[in-house]
Amino acid sequence: MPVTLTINGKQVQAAEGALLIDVCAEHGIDVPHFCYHPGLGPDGNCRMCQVEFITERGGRLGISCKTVVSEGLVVDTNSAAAKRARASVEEMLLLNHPLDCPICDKAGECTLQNYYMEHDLQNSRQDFTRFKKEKASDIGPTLILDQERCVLCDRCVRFLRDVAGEEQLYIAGRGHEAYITTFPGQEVTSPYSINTVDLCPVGALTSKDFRFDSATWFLKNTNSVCTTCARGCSMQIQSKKGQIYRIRPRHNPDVNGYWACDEGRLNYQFVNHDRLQTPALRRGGEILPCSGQEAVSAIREMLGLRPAGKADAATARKSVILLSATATLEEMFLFRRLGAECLNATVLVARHVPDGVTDKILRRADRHPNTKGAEMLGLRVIDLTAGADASVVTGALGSDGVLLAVGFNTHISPALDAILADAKRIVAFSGCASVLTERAEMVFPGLTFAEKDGLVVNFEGHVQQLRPAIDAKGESEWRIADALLSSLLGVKPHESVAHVRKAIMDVVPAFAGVDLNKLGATGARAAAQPVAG
Amino acid sequence: MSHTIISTRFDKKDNHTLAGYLANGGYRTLPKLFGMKPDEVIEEVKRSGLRGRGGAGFPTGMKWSFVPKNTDKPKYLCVNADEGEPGTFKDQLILKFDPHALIEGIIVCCYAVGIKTAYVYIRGEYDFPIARFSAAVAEAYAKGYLGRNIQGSGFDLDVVVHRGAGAYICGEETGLIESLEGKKGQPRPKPPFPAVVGAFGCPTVVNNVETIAALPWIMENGAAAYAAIGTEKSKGTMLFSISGMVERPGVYESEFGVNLWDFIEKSTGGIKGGRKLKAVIPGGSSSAILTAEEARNVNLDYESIAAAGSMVGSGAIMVLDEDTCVVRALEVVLRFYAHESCGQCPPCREGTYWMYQLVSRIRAGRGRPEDIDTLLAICPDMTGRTVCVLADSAAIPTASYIKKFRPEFEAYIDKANPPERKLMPGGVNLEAGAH
Repeated sequence: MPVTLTINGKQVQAAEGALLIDVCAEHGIDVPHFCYHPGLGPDGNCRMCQVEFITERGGRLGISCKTVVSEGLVVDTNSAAAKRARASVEEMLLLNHPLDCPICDKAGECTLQNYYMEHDLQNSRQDFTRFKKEKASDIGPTLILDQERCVLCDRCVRFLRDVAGEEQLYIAGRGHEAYITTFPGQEVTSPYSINTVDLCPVGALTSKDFRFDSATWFLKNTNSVCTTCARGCSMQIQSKKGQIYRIRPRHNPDVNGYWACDEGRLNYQFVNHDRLQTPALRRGGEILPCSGQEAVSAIREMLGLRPAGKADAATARKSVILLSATATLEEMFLFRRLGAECLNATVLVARHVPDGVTDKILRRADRHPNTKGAEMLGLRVIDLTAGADASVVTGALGSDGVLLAVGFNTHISPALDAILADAKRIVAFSGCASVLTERAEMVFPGLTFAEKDGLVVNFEGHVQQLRPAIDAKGESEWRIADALLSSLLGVKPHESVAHVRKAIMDVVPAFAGVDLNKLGATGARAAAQPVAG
Repeated sequence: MSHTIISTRFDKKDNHTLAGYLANGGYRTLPKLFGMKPDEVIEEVKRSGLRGRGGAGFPTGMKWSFVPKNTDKPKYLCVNADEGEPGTFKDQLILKFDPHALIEGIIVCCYAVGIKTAYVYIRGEYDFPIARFSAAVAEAYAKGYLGRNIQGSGFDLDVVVHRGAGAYICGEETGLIESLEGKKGQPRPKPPFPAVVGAFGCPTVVNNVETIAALPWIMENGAAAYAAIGTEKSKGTMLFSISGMVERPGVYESEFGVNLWDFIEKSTGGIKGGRKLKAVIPGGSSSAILTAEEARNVNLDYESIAAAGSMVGSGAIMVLDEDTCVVRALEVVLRFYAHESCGQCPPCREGTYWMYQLVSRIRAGRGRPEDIDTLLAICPDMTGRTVCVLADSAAIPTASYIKKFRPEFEAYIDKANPPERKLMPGGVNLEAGAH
């Protein structure tokens, strides 16, 4: 039974049992708060979300995070009394705050700062020496704690205890001497620790990785997807001048809720450093840069295709197209077609990143974002994490086959390494230098997840879109595959990646039910069962 | 003092033992109790008009009736023996000299509400009271007044003595529950109230020692007899802990409705050394101060004291004579609340210490003229804004001390005319006692 209540003079309907603060948010009223977080629930300690309830006996202040809506409730979130109550909470929190905003990582996205602009904008009434507490404490591999900035909202404590399942922070002391700290002799080692930095409404918990790197307002935000494991958490990539500075989770109730693991957030260094930027060909003993035109003729020659004209699979040399399971759906789709229609090729998708752990929160053992997508395309997925399936590749290559390796930016596993050692001729599509690009006869500089516009399908069949956060440093893999396809088949190339997605929907039954070009920010669930193949 | 109920047996020899208590008429109400239906007991307590003696004065029977009748969860009683309000020292007398009356009262409450386990949360510093009460509990178990099938009634009840660990805030009912559960003693936001979600997530009654200790008398003599004592809304009697500059400080019992100053003067012999009365703090350190004139003209009952702008609270009456410094008194009170704030809510965590800093600066002769108004301005920001009323407890005395004795504060700020330094009652040495 929905209930009817009045918020700021407007009648609204809300579900029975809903929290007032959530109902306000649904109707575009952001009630200020520190301790409440939708992923953690209410705690009621910060007193910032006070609003005024209008009753027959007059106004009464109360906190909206602990108020369950009821029929006939009348609320004024911005009455003079409510604003004064919140302003005084803000004043109390700032009484002993160090005001080191100019050197604080949180500046620009600090709740305390923002609410000061909204509520107070006064000089402090207190003129005593501010409290000294510990600053810049190293409390674990990922975090730095500043006790002076802390507002003691308890979010980090509650997150580690209630969500991450590892109680590693607590509030010691009491009253004005209370402070956040680790347990004696222990560190914060949770694999989800950096969520506490996002949760921290102030700069008390900062990430070692991002510390002092950039003012937050200079960062460009791009909605994308984490490619570190098969969960595919919705992420926001924050970048500046072609470099990634920080990756943070985005709320996606279907995939990751509000959280992400530390590994996923920090898995971006390979994007920023040591990137391959031009095509290269082996000439004599050395691998030297070449033009795109040279590269295309070289690859055609290598595959035994005539210099020009239509494809002729019969005369083509035997080859294996080996895609990383980190490749996008579009790349897999076009290379599959290339293998099937133009080349004498076996198309395989490899899992090559060593397995991690599956936990009860987010992390999946399979550390590839698109294994499920490959299965849904009907591609054979082989396991090169432990070497079980290396013979599948070597067998298909035979004695003189050409190996086209696509998307192996990181993690050249021993099994993959053995295949590379065995293969006579290798074409690498890769954005990062590795033993693969060293051994290749030809290298196309590929893209990383941060430059791609493409789809990945998580282990539950949820399709999400990677969006380019930084300018491409190499060539888009799907464009190369598409260019080869169009020249070999004599058809028009796809105008854009959206046309490729359209083709996938038309051709692959598993994706027939979902509009791949209208996935939105949080993606969509494709067919629940993988198609055979 | 025509009536004594709670303190009747305090001076009876060996009353703390089971044999002594039985000889003094103890446990006589049990047959009558077990002959009644639980609901009838609740009704009886409601009719008696008994109100909580811990400080809030909430009607006891009504509190019990908030406990859900049909629940598959166990229910608990928490007896609040944390006695932390500065100036209060009455519950320890019950624990020491009439422990079986408390046990008997616990049986009454638990039978009425359907409780099988009662926790008695005793202030950690109370070594001797804890020993006395624990011995009484052991004796009661041995003789079948606790445990299974009490006195053949078929009613089972366990009493667990829990020793607190020294925090004022654990006397707040939900702070007490958190502490009892083994957590940091921090009050919980309400609702839900303990009657619905209390100890270990179960319905829980939290009552003060003195409240529970009044129950045997009510059961024995009937609600009407209890309600006949006192005033229309303040029924029965209460123990008052009288301290400060009086000849004979101590715990005195009185029915409600007597004149406050008459009662103090008659029971304690009046102000020490024949000096003049300056003020009375009627209900513990968190209550508003009354001037000498107000104290002489007010009656000692919930309504009259409330009408005078203060409260009966836990019955801790503190008397200030003409030589006592109100500024220092406030400094001590604020230091206490700043020290005892649990630190959850910003207004209390920061506000109590800020007020202490301001008053401390004034007392030290470094106050600024605007400090007094700043203090008054902070008070409303700390009233009714927090999870529990500790912030209010600091704001109420601050506002009232300044309002009623402003010239004393101004004198400290007036550098040309600084007052002579004077000590608090009992000669508390502030400098040595800094926390």
